[in-house]
Amino acid sequence: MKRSSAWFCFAALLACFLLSGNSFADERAQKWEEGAGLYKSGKFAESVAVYESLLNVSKPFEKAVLYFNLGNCYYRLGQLNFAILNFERAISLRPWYADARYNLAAAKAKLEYKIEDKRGVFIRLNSLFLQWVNASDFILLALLSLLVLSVSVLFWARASQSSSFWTFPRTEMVFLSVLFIVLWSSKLFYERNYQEGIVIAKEAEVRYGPSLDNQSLMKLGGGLKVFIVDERDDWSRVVTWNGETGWIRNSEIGKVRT
Amino acid sequence: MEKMKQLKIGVLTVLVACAAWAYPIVSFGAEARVIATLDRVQAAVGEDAFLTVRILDGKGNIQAPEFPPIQNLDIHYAGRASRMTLVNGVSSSSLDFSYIVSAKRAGSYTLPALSISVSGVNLQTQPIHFEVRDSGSAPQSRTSSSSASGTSTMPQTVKPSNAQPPAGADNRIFADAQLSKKTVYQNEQVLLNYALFTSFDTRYEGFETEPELSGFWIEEFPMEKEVPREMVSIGGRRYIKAEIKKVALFPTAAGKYTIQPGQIKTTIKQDQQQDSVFDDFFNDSFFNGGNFFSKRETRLLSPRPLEVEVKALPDAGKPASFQGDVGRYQMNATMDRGEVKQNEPVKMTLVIEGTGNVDRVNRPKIPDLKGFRTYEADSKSEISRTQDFISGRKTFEVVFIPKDEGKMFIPPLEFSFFDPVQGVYQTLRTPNFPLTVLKGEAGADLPEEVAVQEDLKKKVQVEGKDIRYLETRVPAPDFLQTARSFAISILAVLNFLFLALAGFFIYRKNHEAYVSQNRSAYRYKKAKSVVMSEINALKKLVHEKDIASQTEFFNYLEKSMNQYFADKWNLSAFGTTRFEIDRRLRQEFGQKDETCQEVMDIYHLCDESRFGRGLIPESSKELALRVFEEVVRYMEKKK
Repeated sequence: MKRSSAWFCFAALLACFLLSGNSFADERAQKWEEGAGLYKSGKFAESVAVYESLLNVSKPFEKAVLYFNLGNCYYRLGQLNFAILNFERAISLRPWYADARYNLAAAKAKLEYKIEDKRGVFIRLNSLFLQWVNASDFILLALLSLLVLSVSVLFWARASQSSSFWTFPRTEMVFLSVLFIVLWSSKLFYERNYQEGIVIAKEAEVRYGPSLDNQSLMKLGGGLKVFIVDERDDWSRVVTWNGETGWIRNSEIGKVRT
Repeated sequence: MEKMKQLKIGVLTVLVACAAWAYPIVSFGAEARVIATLDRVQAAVGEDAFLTVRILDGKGNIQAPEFPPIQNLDIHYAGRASRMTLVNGVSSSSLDFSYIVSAKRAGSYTLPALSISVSGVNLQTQPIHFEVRDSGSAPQSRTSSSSASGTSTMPQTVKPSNAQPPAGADNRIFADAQLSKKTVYQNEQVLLNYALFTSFDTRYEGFETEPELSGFWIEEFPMEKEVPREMVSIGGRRYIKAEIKKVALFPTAAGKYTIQPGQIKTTIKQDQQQDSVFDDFFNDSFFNGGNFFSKRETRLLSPRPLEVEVKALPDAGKPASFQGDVGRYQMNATMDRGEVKQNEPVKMTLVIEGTGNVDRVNRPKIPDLKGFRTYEADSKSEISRTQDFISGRKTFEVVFIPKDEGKMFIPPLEFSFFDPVQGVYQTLRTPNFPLTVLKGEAGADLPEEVAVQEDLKKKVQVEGKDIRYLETRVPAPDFLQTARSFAISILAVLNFLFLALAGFFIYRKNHEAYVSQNRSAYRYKKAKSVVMSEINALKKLVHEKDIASQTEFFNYLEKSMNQYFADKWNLSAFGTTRFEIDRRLRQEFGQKDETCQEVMDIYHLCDESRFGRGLIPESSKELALRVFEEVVRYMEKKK
């Protein structure tokens, strides 16, 4: 009697858990469809509110798609700065997101201002390459090459006859593993030292120091991308693509990696 | 040398011939005279009158005469112009000095007689009377103009200009950009004109910074060789105005635009004498480069930004065939023949000509015609830039291939455009072309010569641009990130395991190699661990009381001792004799040490237990074990 009661309790709990998860998923799906419906009927602001509420749930959908949809809504609302921010966020999560890249280019083409990229050729090429891959992709590739390498080492170590270590595929795998680890490190370095930000204010004032008392350096139009290199209180130190550096209020800038 | 001589003779001959030709001209010339004329005798306050001092048949370098200052009357020197004519071998020359006269107050003025030195002779002009009335009075027409006009190349009029130098800029030289309209329709032409105003001898060097014209389709007018120039007056100051650039702009979208006109680079001649630029107006440096040896100073001129409002095209009355063309156009269409065989191509040529952005004129939409295959073939544009307008013609070719025989028609094609002058949409139509289609070859399909012609194939074209649509389908939960993290963890663990396993195998392999190469050292190193485990086993047997256990204890003890000593001294465990053990122990402990004897006694006990009657006391086991332990400890310490 006791054993059957325990089984019954376990089954009931499992059913409750599964049902609650299912109803939660249904609720999210409903919200998603509601957002899409509002977008279709031209109620873009309401659609933004629905999609943004989905960002805060504990187990959201793939965030890249959410940001992509948010970017579309903001684009239709004419808020190019927020559209660009959300497309950038989608791409940072899924670098090969072709639709997001296309829409980002369309939004950027409408910007009134642009910043001339005066970085060195090597840095430009490096950042261009690193844009297309996640840090986790690099570590995944490094681990795969290491796995092939370690299996190969295992066979080599178990072999009764001793042979040279530096033959195929060990040489190649050592090279690939080191390469991917270096790339992963540089990606991590890039992400930690160059947090990308988008100017979300219509026109943001960049100052020489982190207060309103400091002299104004320049004005940045909404939607322009900058690199955040330091933060102090309510201010962020940013570097523009043309090498200028100054301080901007946190409320006027949105971080790409949240 | 001979050649040089011939050259010198040649030059001398030419000079003599020139002198002989010039002699009668000079010698038969009349005496020098001077006349001063004013183009009007009356003028309003602030109004310009033009005074010309003409020297007839004057020779040599004649300086411009200077007027003495006259109260309330401004007299500005405005340049010189010379002319020489030769009629029936008699030459005459004239040199005009121009002045601008304006009065600050109404009244009667007299311009005094001027004294001019011509070839050492002093000539005098007659005094001129000049009446100035208040500016409110009726204007007086010009009374005299003969002396100021003629064939002079000098710009004789000074027009007022509404151009203003940018704030803070040098008002002696500046650039001005003007738009022909402030409000235009989308895709309607607006003219952007650049003019340079200068009081210096100026050389135009081009644009240092190109104008920002994003949002506009641009057609630039070519610069004429003889750039139009004129003398203008701005706020009482005289300038030479030169038009340097003219661009037709076609706004692509509605909205308010601010045009940054760029920066113009000029150089001006330094150490310039006052008014010299007006003397040398047509020999200045604008386009002939000037004197390259004179010092020049660079000036960058930035015209003021311009604003233009672009209106969206009205929705009212927009025809279905409208594709965004703006301007004033005419359309003409012709067919290359009126009779054709089945499956043979017949070509329609559409010519759209007029004023507007001709290059961007869209091909009229061709409807799907029943019984025809249609192919949009070639198109070409011929643009002309006349005066201030972009005009031209665009020719489209359309190929029709009739599939059925009989009497057929090619229906009218429509071309619509927005006329910005009238503010209405206009639609043009081609005629209804009749076409007689004769029976062609049976079963013939698309003729090969047409099928292989790539330019006859319809091109897929992008008709509009927009962002890609949002994701409406409910996406799967974000498994990708979880799967990636899981894969990374699994791979990390697998890597660790494989590498640990590989490390173990490598260690073992190396160890085996070491053991096989250093057997004695290995035995020496391992002796302690082996004997310690055996001592532990012996300690368990010590407390067993029966005879069999005692025998087993001593057998095990003997075996352990033999093994330990053999390992330590790299001897065979089976072939080690007690004599050898005794000898080596004495070497280890010293000849007189009792330990050696005690070890030998243990061996005796072992023999006794194996071959004797079992009368060994129980305490001997513990004693023997302790002695062995002491020996081991001593030997291990000694190493």
